[in-house]
Amino acid sequence: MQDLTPLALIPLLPLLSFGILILMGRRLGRWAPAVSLLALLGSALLSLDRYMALTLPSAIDPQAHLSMPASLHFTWAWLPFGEHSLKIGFLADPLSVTMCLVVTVIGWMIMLYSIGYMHGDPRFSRFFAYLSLFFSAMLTLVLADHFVLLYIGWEGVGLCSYLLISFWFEKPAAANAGKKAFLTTRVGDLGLLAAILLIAKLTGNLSFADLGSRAAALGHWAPWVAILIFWGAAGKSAQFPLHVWLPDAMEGPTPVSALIHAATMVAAGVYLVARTMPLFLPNPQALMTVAVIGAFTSLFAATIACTQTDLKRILAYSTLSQLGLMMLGLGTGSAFAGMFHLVTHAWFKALLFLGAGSVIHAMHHQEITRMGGLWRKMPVTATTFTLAAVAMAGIPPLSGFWSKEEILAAVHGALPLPFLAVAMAVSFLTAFYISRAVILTFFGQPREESHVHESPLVMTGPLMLLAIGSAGVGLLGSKWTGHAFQQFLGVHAAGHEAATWMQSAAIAVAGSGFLLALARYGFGWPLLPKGLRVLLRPAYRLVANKYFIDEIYEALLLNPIRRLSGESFSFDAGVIDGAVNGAGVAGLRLSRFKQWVDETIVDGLINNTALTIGRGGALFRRMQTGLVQNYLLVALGSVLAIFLLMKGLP
Amino acid sequence: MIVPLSHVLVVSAGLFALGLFGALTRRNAIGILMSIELILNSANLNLVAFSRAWGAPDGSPQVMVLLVIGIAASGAVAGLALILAIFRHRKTIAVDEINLLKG
Repeated sequence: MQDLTPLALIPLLPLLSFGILILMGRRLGRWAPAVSLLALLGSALLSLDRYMALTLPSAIDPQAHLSMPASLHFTWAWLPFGEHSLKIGFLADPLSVTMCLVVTVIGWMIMLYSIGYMHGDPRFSRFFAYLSLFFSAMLTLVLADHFVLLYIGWEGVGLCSYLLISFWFEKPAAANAGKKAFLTTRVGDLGLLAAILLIAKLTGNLSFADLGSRAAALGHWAPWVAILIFWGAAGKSAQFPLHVWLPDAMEGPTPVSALIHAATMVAAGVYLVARTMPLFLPNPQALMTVAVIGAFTSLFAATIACTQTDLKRILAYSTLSQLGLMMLGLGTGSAFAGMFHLVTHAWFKALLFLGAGSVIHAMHHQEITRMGGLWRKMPVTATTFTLAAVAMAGIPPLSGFWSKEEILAAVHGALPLPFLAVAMAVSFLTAFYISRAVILTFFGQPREESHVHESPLVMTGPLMLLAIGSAGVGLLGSKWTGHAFQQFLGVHAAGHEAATWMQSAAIAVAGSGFLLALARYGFGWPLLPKGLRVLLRPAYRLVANKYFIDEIYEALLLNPIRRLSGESFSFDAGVIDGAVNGAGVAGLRLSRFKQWVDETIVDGLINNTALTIGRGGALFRRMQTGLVQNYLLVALGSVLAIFLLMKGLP
Repeated sequence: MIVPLSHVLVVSAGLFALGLFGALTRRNAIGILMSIELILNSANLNLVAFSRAWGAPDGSPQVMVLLVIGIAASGAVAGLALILAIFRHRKTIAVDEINLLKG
């Protein structure tokens, strides 16, 4: 096999760029993006090279596992301990190379766009340093060939997400959103960590290769391991009940929302489940959990998206909904359905976010109720945004249609009918809310006087490139190209051919969603009679306030924790501090007693001795007159006395 | 021997008494020093007289007298130097006013 060092370079190049930018970014000034763009271009080309290598007929090993038809490996011994050793291993199989291409190619365009969007920011080079670090971590996550390395990348992207959400940390909302995102995903990471530890304990091998053959060693723990992995994935991919961080994460710069919170990082959960699919397959309960959570999140978020008026929040809830749809696809046991939607979603959602960023850049606010008629002033943004919206709504032949078809077909084939109904409902709601956003933003009359203009080419260029991708990338998985994507991932396409009736139904559902939005927001027709509207007002308020999930968490989780902290504090202040203070006071009293003993008895003895000697001294000092003649007299007296004494002695 | 020993001893005792009286009564420090010289000389006279009367063949008492004269001279030098220093400091050499060593 050929030299595989380039595989390691894919995540290392952005890491190098991070190092350069963080150390000398200020000196590079406006040339800082060039470093990160070049590094990422290198990663993208290397990923493309790996892709080419994988499609070579010689690389395909017919004996390999179904989901891993071919793989390229790079390993380097890292931490040897005892008889085991932890290796840094990179694995390029169709799954990871697909993700690599999505991350690097879309990421490159978003980075290009950021040059225009972040222009004039005081921490311009810092932004690109963080983006580079993010790419390094994300590509490590994607290419990792064992759980530990994946976990390192997993935490790395979490850190970058935190750094980039609170990039404008002068805004308290942004700082809080970053904290919330970090802590919420951390709850999920705990599940993944527990799963990794269980796998390590039970099978003694953390590698992804032949994961399926080792699944049996997990015994009765197997469903729990799978569910714990999904718990981690739910944290990262913002699935109910860990979804609360993603809408708040929109406080970050819009390119970050596009890159991390729509196209790549939040898809890491989906990728993780797809990667560890062999652990889910033998456990119907685990698969059902994935499907139920996915379906619920999808419907739940889609209803919220219909009521929001902040453009980025609509897109955030839409992302939640689409991620739920991917999870639902994975819950059918088909890694392909979820992954395909991940790829197409990355394109059109990145485009939607960048388009929204372009609008926000021009308008300086995000409220769609204050926009309108923008298509005349921003034709490129309006066209590309609309195209992405249509792609997401699932209108053929744009990309969203094909991947949604795959999911619908997989759901119909593997799960009970209610799941299909949920997926159809989500399809309808998706078409409705995205049409609403497009109509209110770009069409009709301007609702506010403003002097907006189209964004510069460095921003519209990536929009156009992404539009091409959003339109075309779905075709790779369509019957017109012979299901090329399915074959690349090694999936047998035959079983998942969507029935014609279902395709028609999906188009009809999406179309009716669009028509409804057009009627309501385009022409301003009231859709419901007045009485019914009044009756439904509480329901609307429930949805518009995001089902009060944040408030429920506040009441059920945060407040008890705060109360517990308060109680602990009082306990601390009363009992622990009391004991400490009591000990202190007792010590003080004892010391006072000792002081008394010292002062009266010990010092008394010493002082009295000194006093006695002093008095004696005072008596004798009278003799010391200082007059020399007195001394002489004394001497004379003494001599006479001695003389007389000697005389008197016999 | 023409002069009997007792005569010389009387003179010596007179000298001693004069010296002692002066040392004890004079207020002037220099006077005290001079009186002390008298006392020393009375002791010297005694030494010489006894040596002469009882005969010391090696003449060692004379040597001792010379030693005493030398020491008395150096003692007077030290004493005068001290008195000079005290005078510079206190503008007086009256010993009843110099009582720095009073306890």
